[in-house]
Amino acid sequence: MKIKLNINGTDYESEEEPRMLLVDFIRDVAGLKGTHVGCETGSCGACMVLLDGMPVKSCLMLAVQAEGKKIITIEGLSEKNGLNKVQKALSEKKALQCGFCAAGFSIIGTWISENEKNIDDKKVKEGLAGVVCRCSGYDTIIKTITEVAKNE
Amino acid sequence: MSERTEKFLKGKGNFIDDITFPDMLYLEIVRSRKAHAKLLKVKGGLTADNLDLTLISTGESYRKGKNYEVEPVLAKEKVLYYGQPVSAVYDKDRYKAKDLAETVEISYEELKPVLTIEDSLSSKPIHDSKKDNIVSSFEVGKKFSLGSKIKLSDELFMERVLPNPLETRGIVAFYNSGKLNVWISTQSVYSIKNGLTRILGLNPEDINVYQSDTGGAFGSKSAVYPEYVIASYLSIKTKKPIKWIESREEHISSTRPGRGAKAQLKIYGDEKGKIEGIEGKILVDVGAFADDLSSTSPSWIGYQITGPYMIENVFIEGYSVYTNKAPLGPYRGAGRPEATFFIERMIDLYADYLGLDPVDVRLKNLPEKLFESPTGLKVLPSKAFFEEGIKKLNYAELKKNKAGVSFGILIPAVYGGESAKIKIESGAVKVWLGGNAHWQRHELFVKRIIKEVLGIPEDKVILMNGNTSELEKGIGTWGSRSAITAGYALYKAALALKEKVEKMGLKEPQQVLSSELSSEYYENMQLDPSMISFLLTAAIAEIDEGIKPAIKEILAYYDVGEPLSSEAIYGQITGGLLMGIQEVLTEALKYDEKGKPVAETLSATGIAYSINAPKYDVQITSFGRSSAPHGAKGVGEAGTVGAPPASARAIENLIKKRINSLPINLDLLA
Repeated sequence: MKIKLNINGTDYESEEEPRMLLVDFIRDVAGLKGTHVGCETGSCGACMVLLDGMPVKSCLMLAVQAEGKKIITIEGLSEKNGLNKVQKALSEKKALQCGFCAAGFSIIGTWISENEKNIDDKKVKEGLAGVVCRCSGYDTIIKTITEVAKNE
Repeated sequence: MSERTEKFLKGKGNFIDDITFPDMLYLEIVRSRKAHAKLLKVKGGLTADNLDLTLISTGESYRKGKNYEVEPVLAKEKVLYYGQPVSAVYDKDRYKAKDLAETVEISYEELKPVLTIEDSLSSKPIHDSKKDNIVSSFEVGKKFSLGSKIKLSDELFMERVLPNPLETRGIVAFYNSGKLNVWISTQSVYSIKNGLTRILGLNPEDINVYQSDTGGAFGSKSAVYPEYVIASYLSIKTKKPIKWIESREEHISSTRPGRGAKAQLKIYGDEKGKIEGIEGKILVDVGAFADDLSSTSPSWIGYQITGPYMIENVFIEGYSVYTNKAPLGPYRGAGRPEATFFIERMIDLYADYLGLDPVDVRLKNLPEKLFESPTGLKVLPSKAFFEEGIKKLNYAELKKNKAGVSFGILIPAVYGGESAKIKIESGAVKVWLGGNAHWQRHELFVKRIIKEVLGIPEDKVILMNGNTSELEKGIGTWGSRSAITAGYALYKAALALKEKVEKMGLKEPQQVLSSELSSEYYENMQLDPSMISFLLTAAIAEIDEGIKPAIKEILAYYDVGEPLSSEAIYGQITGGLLMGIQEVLTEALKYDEKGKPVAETLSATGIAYSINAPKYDVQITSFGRSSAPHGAKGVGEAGTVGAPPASARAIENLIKKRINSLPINLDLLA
């Protein structure tokens, strides 16, 4: 079937099987490789994107379910080739190690900083609970996102 | 700012599944759905009938005469663990390759699986050609007999744990114009190249291995696995690029987990807290097939059983045994956490029996001068370090909070040395290391060493991914070795380059950067006691929601030698600490009674999420430089060594029941 998706403001149209997952459309059809597959079951958040402004795990959705919605991936969080505030802070504080989780923490961190009110460590910890970092013990990630969100 | 992290945050990484070629074929592995069975029929795909090879093991001489069975690439006649590769299919469409895998027919005659160390010792051999299930046995230390006043025994166990890097394993193999090119997510392009060369019978000059950006490893990306051989073989056969990406479910069933170690120990001492001896057995469940690393692990654990302490009598018998489970591999720490958990738990048992403060007992047993353990391990006196640490962590306050405390050592795997290459090209300094970083932030110490020796600004230095065609020889990243070994080699390579620079009369960094100089160095070093670092860890527990134990605060006072990058070290330590804590609480690879892994998803393996992160108090210190010219010691595995015994003790202090098995049995809380 024909699937037409709007990702980071660009329309992509392709003839695909109905069973194609959103994450595979993003990676293999749109060629946006920053969204990763870590677990296939919604456990890790490496595939996280914004769908009409809400964070979703793109391995848990069919591509066709995202038709007519605005999809933002890690590549679309800022202006061309830049980093948004959350991404810039994660980079400056050396919060990430292997980097495979970058989409997850960038997307959810951005959403928290823009949407959560009265931010504290605990709220951020709970907000990040769907995204796995296997390297860092989360400490610098939590502190960095809390700091950005507080200044938002 | 790190260019590498920025690239990841822009979504521009180059992880293994990001690498594609036109006409690429997707490989799917069809795996055994039984833990122990005869294969009656396998129909469809590439099977052992077409590809009859076995993996290799590095220590050929050691193997001779041992009860040693190496894993076949594809199962033949019998399957010996759930998830063992049986057949392989491929298609140009990823989804269709999965459909194809469903069409392969396998019929089994089920056999009773052997699933525990006890079962293994009492069951018929799982390998028909062997006399029993004991892979190898060892004696460490020297037999002794003591008339000690106190003799206490316990059995301790650490369950199997999965490495679970966020990026699973994967490979792209492309045979092109007579050469096999391999892109792989790995800790060592060299072990992959050596393995594939030998297993497939290739000429070393006909294979190049390139490291993709590597999304974590924790031990799981060091060795050659069956899938790598299959992908390479199929690419040679089809002349097309072949990609294999592991699913998380495959990681759980078939990637080599770590730990699975048991100790039956007896501690001897006087009535005042002086330990006089330690003896017993260490048994390791190596799964269905052996390699040198897994089968020698009981002796490696035994070697370091005395930790930082002066214990004059030691005798350990070690056994590695077969079970119908996935073959064992290294997991962050690889023997170090086992040895530390075992000795630290025995010391707590001894201190409790005497009613003494466990920290006092530990301090009392540290050597005054260099101590050579009966196991052969040599440790420097560390009393000053631990006394200082106890003060810095405010032990009086910790005691009020019923904290658990552990002492430990971290022995870096310096064996074999390491290589480094520096090449100045287009105004930048490119560096390759024999140990292939998976972004533990090796680039920070690389930049620092180049700046220190050559005066070149850090933003002109780029750490490249592993590449056998750029740097021919190397070892790998594991065993807390990189800062010390690769740092050493890089330091020497930089000194050699400096000599060239001076000979040519180049003075300014800008002149050096416009040259086309390069330098390569292989440093073959030996372990000496100055390289072993000391670790003091404390944990405070709470019983969350009245039922679930949790660690609310973890404190670390760690010796890192000359710190090359404090941010990198901090992240390494906190990351390791949380893994160590989680191993105590929930993280484990468990199997059901038929030998199938209980977990099917990442979250079900019990790994830590952000809500599990405790408050960290990490103090990085130097208790002297190592003998390497840049003074570094190891750090990568420090947290996984220190956290388990401290965390287990902290929970024990709350629930007042002895903890001797990990992860803790929640029935203890009832």
